[in-house]
Amino acid sequence: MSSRSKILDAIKKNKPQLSPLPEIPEFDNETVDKVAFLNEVMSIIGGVLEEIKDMDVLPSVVEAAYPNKKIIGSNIENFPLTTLDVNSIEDPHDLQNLDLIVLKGEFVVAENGAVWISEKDLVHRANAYITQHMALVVNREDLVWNMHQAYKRLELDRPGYGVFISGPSKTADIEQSLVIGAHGSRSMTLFLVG
Amino acid sequence: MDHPSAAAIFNKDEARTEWHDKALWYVRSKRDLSAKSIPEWEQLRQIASAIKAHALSNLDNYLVEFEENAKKNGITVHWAQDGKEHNEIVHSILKAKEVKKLVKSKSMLTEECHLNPYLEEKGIEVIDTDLGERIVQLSKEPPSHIVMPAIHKKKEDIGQLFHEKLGTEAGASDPQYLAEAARQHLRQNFLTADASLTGVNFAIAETGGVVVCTNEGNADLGVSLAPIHIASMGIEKLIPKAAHLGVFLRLLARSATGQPITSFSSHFHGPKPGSEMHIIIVDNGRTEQLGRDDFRKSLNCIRCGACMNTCPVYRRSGGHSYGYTVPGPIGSILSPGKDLKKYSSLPFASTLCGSCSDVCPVKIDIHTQLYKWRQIIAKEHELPWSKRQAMKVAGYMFSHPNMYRTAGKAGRAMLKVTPKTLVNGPWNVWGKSRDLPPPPKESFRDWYLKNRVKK
Ligand code: SF4
Repeated sequence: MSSRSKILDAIKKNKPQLSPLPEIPEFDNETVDKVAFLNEVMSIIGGVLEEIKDMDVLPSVVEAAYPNKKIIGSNIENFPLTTLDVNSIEDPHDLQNLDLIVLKGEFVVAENGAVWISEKDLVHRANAYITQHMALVVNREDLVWNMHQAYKRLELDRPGYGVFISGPSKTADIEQSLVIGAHGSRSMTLFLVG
Repeated sequence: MDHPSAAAIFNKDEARTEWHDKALWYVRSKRDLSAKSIPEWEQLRQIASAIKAHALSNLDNYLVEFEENAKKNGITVHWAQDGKEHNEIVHSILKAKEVKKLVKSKSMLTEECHLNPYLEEKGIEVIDTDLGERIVQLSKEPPSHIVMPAIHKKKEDIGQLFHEKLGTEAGASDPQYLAEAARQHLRQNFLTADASLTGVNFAIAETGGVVVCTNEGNADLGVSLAPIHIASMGIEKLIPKAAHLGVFLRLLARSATGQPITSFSSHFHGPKPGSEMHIIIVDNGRTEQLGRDDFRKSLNCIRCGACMNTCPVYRRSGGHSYGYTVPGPIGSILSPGKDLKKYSSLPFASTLCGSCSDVCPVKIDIHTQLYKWRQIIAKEHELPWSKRQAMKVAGYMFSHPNMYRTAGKAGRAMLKVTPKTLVNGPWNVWGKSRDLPPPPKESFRDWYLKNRVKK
């Protein structure tokens, strides 16, 4: 008998009586100022929130936030600061000198500052991790309150990859001291557009 | 070695014990702040617990559903009954592609299976990439905590270790500097690895994918560069639907470190183009635990570590004193199911204060299970000698009320006049770094007879 059937048989034999699956309320919070909340959360998670009025100003605010970055990639079409066309790269190892990645995300969750980006928007999965710095861009109308609402928006049942990114890469493994920039991004700015 | 003896070694360095205690309590306090900021916290715990209970009660069907959907996503699914089979599967995947270097993110399961030494023996270099895990790997120790593997080490220890192994400056102990050195060292390994292995925080039956949560981004950096991704998971990681992640991701990081969510919550539903992805589903004693009515709920665990951070015994004895892959309260209810004799001292490594059960995000009745394991251990005569004698005396006392009363009176009188050095002698492990409260003037019985019965 295969291990698969042995394990499944053992479960059948040992599992308890079927218990019911609970309903999950949405736990919406209609009174909260989501942008103000997000702003506070960003400082807790080591990121920065910048509100901008439209996409036209994005290049100049990114430039101001990240001056003198040499190798810049983006998933935004014709983004003027781009110096490395990530679409043309085949082997993700060739992204290793990326200084800054500017990524348009799908939506952001106010309660924890998590921005959802799926594989197609990442171009390469490595883009989000190999870069030294990261700028994320989300439309103001794509701001939801909590994770329950976030999952209502998601379609996961297709092959691929997606990630919630909440702030820069960090570690507290040495005596609980927070160090920003563990393996990936050393900083993260979220630009909220509109 | 049993827990009291191992804890005694840890306690020799009083200042360090004190520091360890405080470091963990700090994490516990952050968890409290974070939990209190969510009005529906208790409701979320209730829901999480019920989802886990439901998933366990239908686990065979969910595993089959998961496998079917994972395959549709282009993932190869393997099944392993025990650690040995798991390791062999990993090796066969790596061997087929002549892998020389494997980068690994945190996975308690692979610790449980002793994967690293197995692969190293076969000539494969294994690099743990979580900073804490890398620290303990370099110093040839097991992790002492499931979320903060190197929490037992001071920055000076790590500075010395990195000086020896990574060539950092002698005497340097600034966390920022040390973390940067590790970043450079590990990046080279990420760029040259030909396979990556990750643990799994949640596996979703409905979508056939797995979720991995990290702060460092090490799991993703490994997976997004190397052409092979292996994800190892215990059967209990299954949840039915993606919507359930909303509940668990809200609870996990807040319970673990007080963060609202980890920096990266990655959803893997297939390999990246041109790569392969494998999932190994492991039993290794879990189906047995599923069959134990009193202990089944321990399989709810989402490995947040909150029960360790809050436990007064863990905080003052350190993770290594447990001698089991998963230390602390949860380890003490999981380990006896694996080997009752070997781990018979662990269910006693608790004050039964219940704080672990109070903080557990999936509402495992940890302290009740500790108590139940004690009863089984006592029945099976696995109790240490000193406990057995004490129990005999107590048993005799409790069945002879007059004698109990006299002994109580004598005890109260004695405590008043006995010097502290005698009460807190080396035989009294409870007296270590602790004083007894002043003895009460009268017993509860006397007080009750005087104040209540008369009325
Ligand atoms: S038993 Fe509960 S508190 Fe302890 S690690 Fe598991 S989920 Fe966290």
